[in-house]
Formats: sequence, structure tokens, C-alpha cells
Amino acid sequence: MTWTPARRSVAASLLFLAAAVLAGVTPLEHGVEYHVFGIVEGLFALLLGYLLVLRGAWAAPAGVTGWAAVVYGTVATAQVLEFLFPPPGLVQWVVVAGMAITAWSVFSGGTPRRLVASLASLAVILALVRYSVIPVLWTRIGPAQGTAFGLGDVAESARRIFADWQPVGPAGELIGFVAVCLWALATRLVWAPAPGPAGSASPDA
Amino acid sequence: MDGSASPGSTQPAAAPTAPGPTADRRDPWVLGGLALLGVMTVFAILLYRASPQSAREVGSAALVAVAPDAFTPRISRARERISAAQRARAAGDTAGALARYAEAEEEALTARQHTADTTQARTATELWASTVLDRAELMLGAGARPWYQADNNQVLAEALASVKRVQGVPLAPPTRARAQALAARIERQMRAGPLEWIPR
Repeated sequence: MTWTPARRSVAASLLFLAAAVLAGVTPLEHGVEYHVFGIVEGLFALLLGYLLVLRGAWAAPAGVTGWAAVVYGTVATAQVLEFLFPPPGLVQWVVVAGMAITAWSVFSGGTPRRLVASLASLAVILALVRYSVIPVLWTRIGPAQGTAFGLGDVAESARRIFADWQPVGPAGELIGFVAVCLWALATRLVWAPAPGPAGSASPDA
Repeated sequence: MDGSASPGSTQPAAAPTAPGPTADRRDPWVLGGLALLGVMTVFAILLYRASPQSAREVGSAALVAVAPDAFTPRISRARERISAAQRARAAGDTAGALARYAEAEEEALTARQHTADTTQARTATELWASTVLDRAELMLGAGARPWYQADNNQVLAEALASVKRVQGVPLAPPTRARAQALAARIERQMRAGPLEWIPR
């Protein structure tokens, strides 16, 4: 089977859809939570989608299949950001505001490869904050809720101001990792052909 | 994403390997993929909307989706929701258990509307009544406070109203006795302060 651009776009759309579905699923001890992105993640995904198309990491949409890939890609990006962004609170406000202010200078320059590398670094930092820094600090800042004659409840309120965090088990992190892998694979499929003699679709171009 | 849109693929050398939009529209792989994409998108929306908590729940929901008006799938779904409520209750998740019981009530009521004979009607009614009573019992536990603290009367009143609703339909004697005992417990709990200790 030959991988025509239209076939690549449809395959990428399916992968983006799988990434979007998986990124929002969080298994808990008793049941499953389903997260849908909010306005912050949605707007940021639009910005990233625009930059990915502008820099040629995603091929410019043309036709139904091309637009489908971009739309599903933007939704998948928003869902992955929902998985990666810190929970609501002071930490999220600082991180997102910092990213929004520096987004243009960080992501708009250079080649598509550089843009994707920047996004990968950003994903690592976001994962570090959400799945390493916040959980470690959470257990060490003040007494636990319901202990220390009411002091624990005060400490809990203070912690919630910084990050309204809920623990996520290893299964939840693994599902999120699979979602990010699917997103990367889909991006590889819709990698824009470099302007060259044979229209090569290689990311190394 | 079509090759014709990119600068590289518009060159004559790339034309044989990059079919135009018309050829893409006739490509069975593309058509099949788009159809699969549509189906999977609908499935994803339904999945997120239903928010199933276990694989068993996915099965019962699918059964109801296949035969929405049938009695048996609705009863199965109601029983599955009751199991989910009991699991949430055992885990200390009172709000979750109340929500699951409410879903079970709704399913049992729907089953009751699609009964074919009196046996089915009785089964659905009993299931609905016992679910309502379970929920009312849970609400009683959630709304009751020690005598020196004020009860959450809104929750208790809601629980009492649910029990009265159950008492308004024909039930088997054990269920009727359970409803009566629960109503008495709630009414006693709603009395002010230590008066809740004094029997009527």
C-alpha cells in the first residue's frame, strides 16, 4: 500500500483521535475519571496548531482529509495539554502565563525539527512539574488534612491555593504516555514535505 | 495535507506519486478511513458522555444502547448501577454512591415502563423501591449529626420525601415494612436536639 498524503492524513486523524481519548482517561483506585480540556488548554492548542502549520511541522491543510488531520490534531493537542498542565492554582497560573508570554519567541523561530524539539522539552518540564514537583512538595508542606488539631486543614487550604492536585497512579501516567506517543506518531505522519526536488516527506529535511 | 497543496509536490516530478484531490476522494482506503474516523469519533463522544467506571458498565450500557426499550437490558443496567453504588459506598464516596443510586432508580423506572407482564412489573417496582430506600438510608447517614449539632434538614427532608414516594406504590410486605421503619427513623432524626432519642 502506498502512503499518499490523503492516506497519511486519515491515519494521522485516527491516531490523533486515539491520543485525545487516551489523554483524558485517568484510572483511579475506585473508578475512572474522564477529563475534557478547558479554555486554557484549548486556546493554547490553537496557538500551537497554528505554529505547527506555520513552521511546516504539520502540512498545510488542503482538502477534507488535510483539514480533518489539523482539527483532530488540535483537539489531541488540547487533551495532551490537559494531561500535562499543572492542576488549577498558583502554579498553573505562573506556568501558563510564562509559556504564553514566551511562546512566540520560543516556538516561532527555526526549523520544524527545532519547533518539535522545543515542544518535547516543554512536555518534559510540564511533566516534571505536575508529576514530580507537585506530588513531592504536597506530601511535605505542612501536616496532612484532618490531623494536628485543625492545623492540617489550614495546611490543606494553603496547598490547594498553590495547586488543586489529585494523585494519579502509575496506570494513569502510562496511559498519558501512550497518548503522547500516539500524538508524536500522528505528527510524524503529517510531517510537511520539505520544499525540494522530489517533495520528500522526511522529518530530517 | 494533500500533496498538491505543498510547494514540493506541485512540481511535475512528484505528480505520479501524489494523486490529486479527485483521486483521493475515490481512494477506498481514504473513504474507509474517513468512515472509521466518523464512527470512532461518535464512539469517543458517547464514551466520555457516559463516563463508564468499569468494563462491566461498558457492557451494560452497550446492551441498553442496542435495545433501549427492552426490559431485560434496563434491569441489568439498574443492577449494575446498584453494584457500582455499593462499591462507591464501601469506598466512602457518599456523593458518588448517591449519584449511582439515582442512575439505578432511573433505569429501574424505565424498565418498569417497558414491562410485558405483571411479574416483570413487580420485579422492576421492587428493584426501584429498594434502590430508593438504599439511597434514602445513605442520605439519612449523610444528613444526621450528633444531638448537639444541627442536622442537615434539607437532606433529611429529601430522604423522607423519597421514602414517602416508595410508600405510595404497591409493594411486597418486607419492602413496605422497611420503608415504614426508615420513614420513622428519618422523622425521629429530624426532631430537635435530644428529642430524637424519645420514641413516639
